[in-house]
Amino acid sequence: MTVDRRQLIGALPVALCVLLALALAVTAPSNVQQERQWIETKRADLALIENHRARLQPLEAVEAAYRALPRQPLPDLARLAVAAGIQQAADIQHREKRVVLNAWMYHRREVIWDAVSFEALDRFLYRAESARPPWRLMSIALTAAEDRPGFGRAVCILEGVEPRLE
Amino acid sequence: MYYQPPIQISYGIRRTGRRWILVRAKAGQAPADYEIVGEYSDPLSEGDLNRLRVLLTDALASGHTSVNAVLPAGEGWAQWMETSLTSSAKARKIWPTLLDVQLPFSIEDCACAFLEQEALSDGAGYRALAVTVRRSALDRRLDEWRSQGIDPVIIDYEPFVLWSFSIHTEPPVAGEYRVLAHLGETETLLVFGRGEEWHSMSTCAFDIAGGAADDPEQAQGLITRLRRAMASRDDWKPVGHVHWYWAGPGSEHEGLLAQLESAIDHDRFVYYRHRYGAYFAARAMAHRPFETSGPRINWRSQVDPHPAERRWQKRFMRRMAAAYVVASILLAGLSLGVRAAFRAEHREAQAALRDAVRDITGIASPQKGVEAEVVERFVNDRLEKGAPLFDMRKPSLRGNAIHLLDRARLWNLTFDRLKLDDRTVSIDGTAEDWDRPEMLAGVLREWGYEVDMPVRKASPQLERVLFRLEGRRAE
Repeated sequence: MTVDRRQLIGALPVALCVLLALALAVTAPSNVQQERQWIETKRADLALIENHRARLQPLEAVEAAYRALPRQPLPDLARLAVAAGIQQAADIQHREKRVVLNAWMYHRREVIWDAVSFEALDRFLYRAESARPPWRLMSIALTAAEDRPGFGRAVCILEGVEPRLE
Repeated sequence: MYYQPPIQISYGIRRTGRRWILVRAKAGQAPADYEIVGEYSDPLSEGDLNRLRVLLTDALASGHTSVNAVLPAGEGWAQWMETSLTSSAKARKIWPTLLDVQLPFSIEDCACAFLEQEALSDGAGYRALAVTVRRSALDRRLDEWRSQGIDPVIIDYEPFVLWSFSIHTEPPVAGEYRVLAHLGETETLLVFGRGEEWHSMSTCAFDIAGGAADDPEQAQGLITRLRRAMASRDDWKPVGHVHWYWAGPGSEHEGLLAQLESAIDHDRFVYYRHRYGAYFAARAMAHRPFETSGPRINWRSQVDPHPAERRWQKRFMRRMAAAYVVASILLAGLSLGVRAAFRAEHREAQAALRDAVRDITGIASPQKGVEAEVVERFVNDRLEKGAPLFDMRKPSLRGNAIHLLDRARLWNLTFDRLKLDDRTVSIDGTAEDWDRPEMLAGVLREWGYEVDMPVRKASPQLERVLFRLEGRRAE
């Protein structure tokens, strides 16, 4: 083996080292560029997610308000009617009942009186809406009695959310 | 690949006609401080031979020492060559062919080098200083030195060494012409140049060791040969002052110099005498490894590199290899570092994304790349499911119903039927005139309803008008 060949063989690891370093250096920009793109995509996704989080905030505020309410069921409408001085028994229909966000129960009820004093009806509604948790009047239909001023048929639809009590 | 041998101590050994002179130079030392280690009669006695051998062997063993010799001017050949090739690489390849044509013997029998290649001033090609020696002459010299126990590390060419030392000890005036006349023991060497540039050389026999300096006839012969040498320089036509430097043992002969100067006197010639007299050449040889200007050649490297030089080369190669490896490691480290930094940033961004998704949805390991969609679906679903909670925050209709009934009382309206919800309103009733229902419609409009009155008719029996208001609004 000549000296030159020996030197050549000795230089091989060095050349490999240099080649490896050069290969790493040459491919670094494209690698970095790709990483940068991924990072930008992730950041854009994070910004989107933060926007979605912001959309949730009003709901969270409402949830917090509901959580602050006493953990008790919605008041019984028939009792409220009696308490409001309505003698006639109301025809109360359960129109809807569903779970809300696993924490509350939503109720929608239709309350019908064929002849009720509108004044007493107002008291009833006031009591229903002032309760904790409250009912809310979502629809009302009044038909005046022809022969009795201040009285008539009333159809009220009320909705309410109460804590889900297991 | 150029490398600078790490020489700290340099020995110049010169064989004159009757003696050996050994001069030692140290790196950084001024030539005047170079030490004349010994002068030995030629041939060397057994004792001197041993002393010299031991001295040089020990010196070389230190690893930073060089022993330098020169090949006499007459045993080599040096000349500038030109080519019209304008490519530097091509010019480099053409020199051997051009040289072969000019040599009286085959170039294969020679060691040759082409030094100081440079572009011609007019850009019309390149020139290089070709220097060559027959291998047989080199081998003969090497054998001769070795037989005396001397194994030179550097064998340079005498005209180059003397010229370099001359311009080192007496720096030239830029652009001015110079002649170095080295009156050696048996031979006189003339080197022609300009500034620092080596131009050409000529030799002629003049046996100072044999007493020629004191012989007017031989001196006259030298004058004739010097004149002829100068006259034959077709390509060396000095303009302005020519600085003529005497050197060598002959320069110590005042009478000879006076005779020579008066004989070759010229208005433009200014004569100087180098220091060191007979030791000029030996000092020049000792100085050789420390000189970087002027043409340089090491014939020894070309034919049979000295073990010391091999070691230097190996060490140099090892250092170069180490430097390349270190540079490669740094480069690779930098590349990997940059990648790692970006990868870490990528991981951080991914982790932030995962944390946000987990925070919002409670999903611990969302599928990568669809995190935003997952969150969007979750939020939409939650908002949809949580809608009743929002609905409960809407204003109560009770207040509106009461307000409408109040208005009716105030404006003497009667309602036969009232229907009210978040989106629609419908009122059937009677009024004294058309203005009151319109006023009621105005109230509804204030609440955001688009109101229409599809029924409006008079009722003669009641003496009132019948009306129906219908309104609709967006939620």
